[in-house]
Amino acid sequence: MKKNEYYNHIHPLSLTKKLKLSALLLLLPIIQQILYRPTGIAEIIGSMSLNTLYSAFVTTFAIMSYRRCLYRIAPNGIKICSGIINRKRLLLPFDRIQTMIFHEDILSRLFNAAWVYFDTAGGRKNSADISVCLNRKTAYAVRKLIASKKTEKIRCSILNMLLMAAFWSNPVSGLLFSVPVVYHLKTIFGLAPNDLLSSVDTPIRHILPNISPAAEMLAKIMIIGWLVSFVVQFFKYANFTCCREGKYIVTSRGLASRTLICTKADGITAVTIDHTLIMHLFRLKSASVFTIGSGKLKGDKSLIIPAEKEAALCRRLEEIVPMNTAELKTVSPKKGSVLSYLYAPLIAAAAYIFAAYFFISFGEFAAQLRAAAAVAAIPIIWWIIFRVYAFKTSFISICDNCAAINSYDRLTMRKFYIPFDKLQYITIKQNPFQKRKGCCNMTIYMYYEKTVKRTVRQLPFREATELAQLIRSHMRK
Amino acid sequence: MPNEGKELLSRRALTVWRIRIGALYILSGFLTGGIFVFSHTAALAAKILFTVLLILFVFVFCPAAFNKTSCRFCERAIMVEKGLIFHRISEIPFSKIEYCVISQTPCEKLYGISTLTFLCAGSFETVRGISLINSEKINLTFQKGEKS
Repeated sequence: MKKNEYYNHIHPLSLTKKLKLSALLLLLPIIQQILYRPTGIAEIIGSMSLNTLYSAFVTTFAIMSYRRCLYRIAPNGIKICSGIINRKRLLLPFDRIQTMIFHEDILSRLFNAAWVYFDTAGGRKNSADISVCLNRKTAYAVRKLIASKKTEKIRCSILNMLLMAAFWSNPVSGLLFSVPVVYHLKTIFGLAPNDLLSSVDTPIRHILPNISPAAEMLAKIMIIGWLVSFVVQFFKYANFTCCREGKYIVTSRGLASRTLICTKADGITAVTIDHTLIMHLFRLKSASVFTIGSGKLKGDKSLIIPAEKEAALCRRLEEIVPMNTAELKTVSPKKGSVLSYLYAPLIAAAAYIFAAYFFISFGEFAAQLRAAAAVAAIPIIWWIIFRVYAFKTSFISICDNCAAINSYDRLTMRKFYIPFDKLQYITIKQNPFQKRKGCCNMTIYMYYEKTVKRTVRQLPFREATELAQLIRSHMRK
Repeated sequence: MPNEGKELLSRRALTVWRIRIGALYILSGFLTGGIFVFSHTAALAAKILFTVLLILFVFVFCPAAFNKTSCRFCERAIMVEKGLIFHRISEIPFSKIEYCVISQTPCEKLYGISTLTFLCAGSFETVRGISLINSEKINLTFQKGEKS
């Protein structure tokens, strides 16, 4: 640090980040007192001593880290000095910053603060290069440094947002969020978990009147999990807007917690257009970006255009990201090779039928297992339908300034538009059966925080080779 | 280019490395004490082994490793050489460096040296034992080079 340079302290709310890491252990003394209820003073001191020492150590460490972390906004970048024993100093130039995220959750809004994350190509893949909590005024000042002439803001309608939240919600993530809360409802609020479960009795009995008790319980849990996930997703993506400000694509989202993400447009590795089968029924698609810093924030999908009709989506994409998505030459999977797309679900179906027959015929819980077996058949049937749909819609094509690839990823169809200068390389693979049929698999490799590859299978060999050569010639230019 | 071709590593780095090995030797005393509880002979053997290793590291390994480690400017790049057994030479162009991190432990601060880390896309290179003044110069040169 130069003597004539003035450095500022970060916001005290940054203490919570260090304390959060040891949150459970800090609560341990309190939990211990509730569970074991020591009677005498000697017992209380004996039970608390080690835990209190640990809590004191963690708190002291957090306070010292906060006091020793300083920042300065220089004209060419942001300077940070941090570290208690091992002092670190760095200057992150604004030119090298690929993604900036400004995140205000409920707590930081209360204390007039904002979490700011900066990402460059040189950082770790799982966390941002710099993550600090700043005063909100300072965070906005940094934000203004990159602000310039804006394009019109793209807003998502409430209905589309509700539909998108519904499509993205899944019971498992809802359950992970709600199970700890439900479990402790009785101890915290004096409520029993059954009070919550009984609220979904009537809808289930209307839809499935003769359902067995086990399946009814499972259905209740799934519905509650899905509802919780839906509410979380909606609150995360409500008030979504996106616009172009000079070199940056700026997206803003969130109801209770606001998140602002600034991404450099020329650093984008790929633009993806996603839709699930259900979204396809509603003719809705969403667009996201792959770039340095994308996906690091928990639950972030790097969305730039949420649920939209395809024509409107492509038009808006051209406004935000200068990428012409009109496909000039396309290669699709060879007709008659749909079976190769169905191998995995058919093998799963065969294993399921065998297991169901074995347990229902010879097991002791045959009656209970029948309902479970009927429920378990649904995802396999869905998987088969999706794979047929994936076969019909997969392709690789070349556009004016990018290559496009539409392939499946689990149960989602993802269309990637990759600028030629961001493509790493292309491979064509043939197994002996494909050699005989004149088919091949083509894989496109790209890199953002890690190597990502997308494959389309069963393409006609000659056409795929010609297309690969055409893409390579554009890459060389 | 300022200091082009000049060696940027400080001889004080050798002293710091020796101090660190000494600290490790002191810590090994606790381990030996623990072994002593179970077996006197084993504790004595361990102590002798640690002492031999200390002498080897301080008087043989450290100077050899220091002589094999270097960091110098080249034309629009930094040349880093390090490693005694597995020797490695890296030439890092300024245009590929995203940013630099200068870090100092208390021991390094006492002797006026620092550790410089160059972060590139997907990888990083660390050089230990550069004097603080040279670290600042490299950082400044990288920033100016990046602008031009």
